[in-house]
Amino acid sequence: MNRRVPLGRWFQANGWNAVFVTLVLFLFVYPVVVLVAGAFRTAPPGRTGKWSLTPFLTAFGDPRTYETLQNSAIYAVTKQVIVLVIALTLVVVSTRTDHWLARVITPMAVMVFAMPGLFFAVSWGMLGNAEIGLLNTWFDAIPLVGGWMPTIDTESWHGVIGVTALKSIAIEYLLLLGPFRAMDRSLEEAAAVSGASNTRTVLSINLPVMLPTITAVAIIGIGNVMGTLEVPLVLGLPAGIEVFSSRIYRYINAEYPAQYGEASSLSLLLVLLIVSLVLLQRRLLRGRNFETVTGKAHRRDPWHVSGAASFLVSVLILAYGVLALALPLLQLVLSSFQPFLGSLDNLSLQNYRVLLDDPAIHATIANSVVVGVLGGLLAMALAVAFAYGTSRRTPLGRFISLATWIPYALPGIVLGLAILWAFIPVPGLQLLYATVWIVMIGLVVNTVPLTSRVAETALEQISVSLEEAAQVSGASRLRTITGILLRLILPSFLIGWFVAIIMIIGNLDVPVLMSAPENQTLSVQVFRFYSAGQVTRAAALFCILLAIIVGFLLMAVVLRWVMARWRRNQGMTDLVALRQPGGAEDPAAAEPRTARSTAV
Amino acid sequence: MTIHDSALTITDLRKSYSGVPAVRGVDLNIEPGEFVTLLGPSGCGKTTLLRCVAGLERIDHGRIALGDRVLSDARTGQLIRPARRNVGMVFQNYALWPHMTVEQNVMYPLRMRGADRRTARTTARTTLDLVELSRFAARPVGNLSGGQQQRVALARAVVAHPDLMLFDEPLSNLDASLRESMRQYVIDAHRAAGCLSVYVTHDQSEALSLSDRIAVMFDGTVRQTGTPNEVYRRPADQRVARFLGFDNFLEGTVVTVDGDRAEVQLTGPVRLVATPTAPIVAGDAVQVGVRSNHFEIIPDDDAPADSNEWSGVVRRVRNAQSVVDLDVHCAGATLTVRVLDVARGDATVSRAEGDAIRVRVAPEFAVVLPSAEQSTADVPVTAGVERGA
Ligand SMILES: Nc1ncnc2c1ncn2[C@@H]1O[C@H](COP(=O)(O)OP(=O)(O)O)[C@@H](O)[C@H]1O
Ligand SMILES: [Mg+2]
Repeated sequence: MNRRVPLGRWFQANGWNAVFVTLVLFLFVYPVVVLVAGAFRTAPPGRTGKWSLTPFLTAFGDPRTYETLQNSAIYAVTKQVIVLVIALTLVVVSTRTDHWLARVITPMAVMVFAMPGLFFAVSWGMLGNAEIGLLNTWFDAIPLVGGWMPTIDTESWHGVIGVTALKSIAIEYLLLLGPFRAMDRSLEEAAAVSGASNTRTVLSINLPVMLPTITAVAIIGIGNVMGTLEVPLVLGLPAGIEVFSSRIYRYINAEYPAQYGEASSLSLLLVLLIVSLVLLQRRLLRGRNFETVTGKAHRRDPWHVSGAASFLVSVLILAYGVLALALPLLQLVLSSFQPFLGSLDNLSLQNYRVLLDDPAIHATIANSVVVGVLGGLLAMALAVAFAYGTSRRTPLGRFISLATWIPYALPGIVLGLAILWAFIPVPGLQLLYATVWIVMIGLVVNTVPLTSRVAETALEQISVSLEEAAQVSGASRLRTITGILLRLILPSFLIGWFVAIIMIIGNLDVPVLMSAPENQTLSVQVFRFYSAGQVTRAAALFCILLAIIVGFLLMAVVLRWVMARWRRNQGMTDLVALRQPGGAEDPAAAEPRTARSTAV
Repeated sequence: MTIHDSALTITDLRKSYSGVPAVRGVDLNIEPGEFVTLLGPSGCGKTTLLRCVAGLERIDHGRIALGDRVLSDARTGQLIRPARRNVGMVFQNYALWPHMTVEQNVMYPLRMRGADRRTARTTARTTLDLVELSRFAARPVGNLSGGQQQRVALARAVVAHPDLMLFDEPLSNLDASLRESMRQYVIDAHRAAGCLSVYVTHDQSEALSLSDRIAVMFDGTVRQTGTPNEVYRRPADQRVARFLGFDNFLEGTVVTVDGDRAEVQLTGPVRLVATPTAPIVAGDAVQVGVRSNHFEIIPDDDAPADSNEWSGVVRRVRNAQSVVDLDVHCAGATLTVRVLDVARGDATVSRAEGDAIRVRVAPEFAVVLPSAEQSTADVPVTAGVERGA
């Protein structure tokens, strides 16, 4: 380029791309760079320190690191095996059989999925308390049996793995549900006609055909649990079980002075592990994707389950509902009325009264709601902007799409640290320090991988030609975006927003190291109460948090219903507009939205 | 009596999907070793009927039996599972298992019947020879072309000596050019299995060339069964006729009936000697169906005959691939007359728009059909196929 281009013209041509790149670099790439650098600094970010290999070497020279690594591996793999067996059973039952509880599974999984990780950790911490846990008290009360019933203690390996599994089952079930529904049923019918029983069909056809998907889900599950914080913190640490995430937490919170360099080094190792798992999964999947999507399929009568199999499945589903939802809820609500855990005499509203009289708690509640609503909106808006403004065909588009996956490989606690360190040294941004806004930014970045998927799916369904038609008919680009596009994706946008709110409000691992004592979020405050021994107060506050989450969940459900009705009343015009000549069912006819260019 | 000698008996079979009937009362008898095709337009219930026979669908009413063995009986609720019916089935989309090799796919039915690995492999190889795919035995099925995949599916269906072979439009996903050559593999598979076969298709030429007998279906019922020749030449009613390529229908009244000839006075001046396909008596209002390619253009110097002959004017000339269609306006009727493209140079048949023309039809090509009460406009008309039965 030998001629100077006026800035205005340059911006017109490249402006949006420049804005996107800056945002992506700043929010997604820069924190990782700071994290890497942090592993080689002697002082925390923002302070004057020296470049040094010492923190790095200390972290990797410490035998506890390797113990942690081993613990994490045991934890992740054992959990994954249990979760996969149960999730697969549930998916097969719910997508293929006429079992009387088959239709209950998905709503149940959605509810479990909406519950924050802290919910399971805290409630099972109470339920499985060796001395005064509800379960042990009940068992002791059963005559004869009580004497030799083993004491249930969730502060143990069993407890940590079992309680983590509760939520993972729901997540992996939901991930497997779509692929299992989409699987070509004629493959099963061919097996049935060939003489295979239903069980044999599942084992020799469904599972092998789905193996790539199952492997992918399993690896994602292992990666996720490596970074999960709530259960290891609440149940693992008291039992002396340390995994990566809780070790990182302790480097900063339990050691004096806080060992930032070591925390950073360990985070790096964790990120590397997760990234290698993701790469491994891609490698395994290459060229082995069997998923065949059916065209017009005859729906086969559901498999009939009866007898012992039916009984076992009933037990499994009911037990899951009781362990993942009923018991924890019961324990939390009950404890919130107790003066101290285990006391059944003086149930009162005292805990709530104390909490609601405290102005600091009011501020905490407001913080959480504001961070959730605003952060969710931002996360969804960013996702739509990225998905709309970029095409994956261009190198730039690929870069942005890949960059939005970065937070996915960063466990919440690591991401929180990285953003904190990245922002503190930047002059203007120091103002954010110790406010809830920096927490919000962390939560937004953490949520973008989720909202991006929602946005991409929504935009893919809107054909480019629809947009072009609007432009040809004289609408300006901005009018096009607001008039046609936003109106069409509004339903997905709102749903995505609500899901993001629920995810953000329940999140503990991002804010736990980011939020300052004077600017807590609800989840962090619950954890503080709980670890300070104010268990029943924690329960009461958690009930408030749950009420807020359930409120948003209900709003989302009502919204969905209203929008479905609205669509129908519009005479399906939107749906008709979305269908290309040739029909949306014809994949060749629908141009994917990613095919458009970024030229403005 | 071995099961291979037993006939398939379908009695008053009905099946609805959430209240909407897909099959509404089908009776069908298929003899041992017979190859019967269910022919009908898309959505008429062919697949549903086939799936009921396979045991993939629970039936609402009626009974399906193979010899003495009851497969489905709605009254007693008996339903033998597909796995226990010993059927071989070929699916429209092949339904091969993508995680297995060609050989493993073909071995699977044998393994499910308890054969050990070695026996199963030997048998699978022999069966793959039948479809000329032994060379590909070790390949993953995903590497094969559509035609090859469907041959693997054929091999898998026959490998375990089924008592009953079922085909659901096995050739409809293939290129037109491949379809004809694949027919031989279907016939070979049927012969190798040695049992009776039920074959579903909407393609009349496929049905005519493959079948011992054809059952023509409309709206969930069987309208006509007969040999390909019978169905092709003597369609039972107007819808069947239309579906099988009859494209001229002329109103008229029966004057006399004499064995397999009837004299019909058409609306207008023309009198026609034609072939009845159902019992009729003098005075009946009927329709006469003629395929456009069965008209013959009469050279100008031929003397006029007193029946089976029209004279009129060419209103439109439509060129199709290898044929030319003429719309001919006659007194009381408009006919579509099809001539071969190659005959166009022939001065006796060559006609331009506005030219006068005389055409005739032989009595065996004009069929007398019961006059249809209900409208038949909704029946899709397939393009006339240029072939005898
Ligand atoms: N699983 C199903 N649920 C509801 N309707 C169905 C189902 N399967 C088939 N049908 C309907 O039953 C009718 C017959 O279908 P089908 O047997 O597939 O016809 P064909 O094979 O002759 O094209 C059609 O109207 C079809 O829409
Ligand atoms: Mg069909």
